[in-house]
Amino acid sequence: MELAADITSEDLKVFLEEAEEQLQLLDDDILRLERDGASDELLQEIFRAAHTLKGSAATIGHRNMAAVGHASETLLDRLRNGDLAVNTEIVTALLHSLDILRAFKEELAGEADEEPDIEAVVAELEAATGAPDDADTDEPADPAPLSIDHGVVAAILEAEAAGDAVYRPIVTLLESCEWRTVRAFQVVSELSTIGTLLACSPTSAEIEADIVGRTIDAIVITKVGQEALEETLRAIEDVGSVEFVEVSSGPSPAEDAETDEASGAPDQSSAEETSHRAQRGSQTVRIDVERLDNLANMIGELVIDRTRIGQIGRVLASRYKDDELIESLSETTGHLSKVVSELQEDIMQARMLPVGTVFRRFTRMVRDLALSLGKQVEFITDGEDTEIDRTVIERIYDPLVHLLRNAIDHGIESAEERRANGKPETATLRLSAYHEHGYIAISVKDDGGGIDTEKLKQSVVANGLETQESVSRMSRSEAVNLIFTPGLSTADETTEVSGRGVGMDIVRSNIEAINGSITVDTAIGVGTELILRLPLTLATVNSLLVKVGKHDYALPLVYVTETIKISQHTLTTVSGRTELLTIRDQVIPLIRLHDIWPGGSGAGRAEDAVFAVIVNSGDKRVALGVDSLTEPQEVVVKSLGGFMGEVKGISGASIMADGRVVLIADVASLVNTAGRRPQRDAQLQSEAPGGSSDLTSAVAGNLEDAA
Amino acid sequence: MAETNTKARAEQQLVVFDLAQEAYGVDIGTVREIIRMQDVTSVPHRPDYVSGVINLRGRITPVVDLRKRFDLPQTEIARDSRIVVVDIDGQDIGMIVDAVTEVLRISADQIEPPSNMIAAGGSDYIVGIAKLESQLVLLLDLERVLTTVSAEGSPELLAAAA
Repeated sequence: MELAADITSEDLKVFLEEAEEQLQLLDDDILRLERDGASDELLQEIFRAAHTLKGSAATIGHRNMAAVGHASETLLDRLRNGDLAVNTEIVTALLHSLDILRAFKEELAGEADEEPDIEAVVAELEAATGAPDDADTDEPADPAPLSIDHGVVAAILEAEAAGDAVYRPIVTLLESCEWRTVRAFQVVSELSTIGTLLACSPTSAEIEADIVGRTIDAIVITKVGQEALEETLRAIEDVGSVEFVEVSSGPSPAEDAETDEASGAPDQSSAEETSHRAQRGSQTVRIDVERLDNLANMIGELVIDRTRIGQIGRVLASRYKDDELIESLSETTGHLSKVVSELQEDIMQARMLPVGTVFRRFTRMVRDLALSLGKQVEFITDGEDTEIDRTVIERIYDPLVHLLRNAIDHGIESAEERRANGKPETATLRLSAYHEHGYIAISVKDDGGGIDTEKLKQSVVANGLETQESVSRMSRSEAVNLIFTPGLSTADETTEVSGRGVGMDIVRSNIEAINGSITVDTAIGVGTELILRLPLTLATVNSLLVKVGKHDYALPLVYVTETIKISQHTLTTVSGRTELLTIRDQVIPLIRLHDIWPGGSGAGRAEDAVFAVIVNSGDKRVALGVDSLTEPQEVVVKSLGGFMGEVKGISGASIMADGRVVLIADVASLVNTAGRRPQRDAQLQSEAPGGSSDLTSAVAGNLEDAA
Repeated sequence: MAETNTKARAEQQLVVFDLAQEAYGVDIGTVREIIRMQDVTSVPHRPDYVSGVINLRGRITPVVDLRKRFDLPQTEIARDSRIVVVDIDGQDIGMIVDAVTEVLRISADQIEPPSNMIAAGGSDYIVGIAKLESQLVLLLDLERVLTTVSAEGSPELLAAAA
């Protein structure tokens, strides 16, 4: 990999970010091209993105990247001119070229595993492009049209603001000119000498690669004035004419400024759009996530200090009742309090990203996977605008990949099978996000074959994960939840697609690790829906505060289905030890948290537990016995730190408004280690455990009952 | 950790604190701050000498009771009791001590290697003895005092600390 010598790491960073943007745009657009067919607008947009990418690759001197970019641009140009019609081969070739471009990008970012192989892709693109026109074989390729990107527009604006003159000379070489590359090089060097060259078509990389047409289109800032500029340019040999096009940061130059040869010229509206986008772009800054996290932490400390100041203020107020300063202290504290709250809200907002950023990455994956399995899948995404903390987004990518792969590989039937079952040949796979009572729900829903619980049971027994006896007693819902059994593979035979050793148990533990939950809904022949419920942010967790002995603990509300008061007639003890609660015909094991977390001196005895918090994790449901309950509240999640290590049943700690430290319960691990599947009497027909849809109100309602 | 290596420097500043009538010293460079006793939230399933965690200006900070750590007789938390917060490999850890008495400047030649005669608590964790005119100050190897806690408490930390 060779780059231009003077690339700074900052340049590279800017390039990488820009490249990622363009690649993402191309990914989306090319898939849209396949789905919706070609439109002038779309092709234009794709062409522009490919061109920008090629241009910036050339700027940093990445020849290989520019070469692949060029090959795809040639193909796109033929599509745009109507010489070719969009087909799968072309789309696949374009997508492969994106892979290579992305591989280059990753190589630059130091993330690459292996050297990208460009030749195969260039060959593929050329094959898709078909035989080049005669003209093309004789003539070198056309240089890309002048690209006026954000940087250029910003520089123009800056120069104008500073009162400097910006010119756009278009130099046309004589038809007889035999040394176009040399002349273009001369023009560029002259322009660079007498001013600052902002942009030029051909670019210096193109000139180096002999990609030079008859015109040289440039934007230059200079103090010499238009006449002197024209004179200098005319003095170069073979220069036929020099025209000047008005430059402004507003509308782009007129179409007729472009000669026929510069066929890739963006049309007026697109250039306008570009410049608008540039102006919008200048209103935002990129910020390192770590810096944002730091800010959030510091604001968290401010919140605590604010509370302390408030407390001290109240003490002072009672001590010095008549002091005037006390009043202004409380006023100031009040104002501080308001500002800090707003700061906290804003910083939370700044960490939010629309889930679309991760959804978009799946479109391509689903397409390729369906194609490779010979299945027809229509992939629909909904609710892309739903915002969620970026740390959550990072943690759901892998689980979602797994769920989507599973849906396509195992859930969706082959076209023949679907037809035989009277279903449309094209299956629907829907990925949607929506708000649900303070959580974000993400649903992966297919209209495939559904989960065959009998097959699932057999597989679990065959793998020695459960006994025949235990599976035969399972309810349908319990059986469905067997998909989360560690070490299970549902596929008849391990396929390339899903046989990767990562099971649904890993998906579930990943989701639970971020205080989320996963539920399954499936019907044979109709399809399967998996719903992830995720916290809006990992920085805080909506929790129920409970007292166990003399200590308070926070129970994340996402696990809580309801709270009840324990009364003797609902409580039975089996084997002299295990306590069971009967709630609406369902028998749930009771775990008294006093037993799990023996508190220090003064801890209440386990028998004193009067409330039970019913929690769900996966298919398991247990009741946690506690002394008392308080209102649910949002708590800030902090780590206990490496010194404390892993503490059984505790996932972290939080600082309350009064400065106390409260430990946050790791409910999933409590349920999974201490809990079992709901015990049942043969006579008891149990209700399937399922998450209550309105957790907060369910809890609030019970709190009222309890009070 | 260079700061705790008492021999490496010609002169050293020590924070001196009392624990069961003995004077202990730790290098001032490792001490982040000294705070009054405050409510400690106990954390279950930790060794007895890990008192729990406190809120140190918004940071969750673990606290170790040094009397328990050194198997010394327990006393009530008194007015002079302090939490000495030290930085061990980038993590703040608090140590409950009877009282913080002074900051001393000593030179390397005042420090002698620990002898077997020492019968004070925590003798396993003493790296040297500073002999002063009026008293002896036992120099603590904080790494051992505090990270072995973690090693016993959680095997995971050994890997993290390595």
